[in-house]
Amino acid sequence: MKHLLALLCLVLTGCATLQPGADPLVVRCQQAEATAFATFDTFVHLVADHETKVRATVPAAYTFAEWLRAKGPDGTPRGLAMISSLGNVRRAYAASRTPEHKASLVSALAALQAAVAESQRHLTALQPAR
Amino acid sequence: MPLLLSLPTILSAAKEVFGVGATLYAYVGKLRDAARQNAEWTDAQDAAFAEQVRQAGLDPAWQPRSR
Repeated sequence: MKHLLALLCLVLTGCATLQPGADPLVVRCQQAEATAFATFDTFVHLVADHETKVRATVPAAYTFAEWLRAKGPDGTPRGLAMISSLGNVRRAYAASRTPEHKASLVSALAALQAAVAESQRHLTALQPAR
Repeated sequence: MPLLLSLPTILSAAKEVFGVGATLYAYVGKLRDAARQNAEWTDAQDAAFAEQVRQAGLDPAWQPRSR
């Protein structure tokens, strides 16, 4: 547990000052994309590795994993499509920093962050069968 | 970053239950790296990340179980 707390301190204190010229919103979106990928990928792998147990003991987590894995029209799992979508909107904003692009970017960022929060909520629900 | 505040709970619960400490240590490392980012990605970094996400879609863990 001590090691975990040490790592958490690194996470919580590791936020760096932005380099001059970097757009805070763009960097924030890129951080959100990286965080979302790490979170979703860790979550679906944990669920896949312990599928029977998760399905039996934490059905809501299993259902959410299925929601993330559900494929869209182009065959991309929803969770990954959300990350790619934010990237596409971010690139459009970087190319043309209009209020409309900014609004779309903020909206896509909020949607992705909500899904990450939901993933983390389900991770906390991984409790042993009693 | 509010998303990070629930990590102690996540880590202690998931590690205790599934013995997946290594996976979660790796997860924390990725979150730390994201938090430390202080510049916009280069085009090459952006493309590499997009490819990483695309490749994950081929992973069996990402395939839906129900149709």
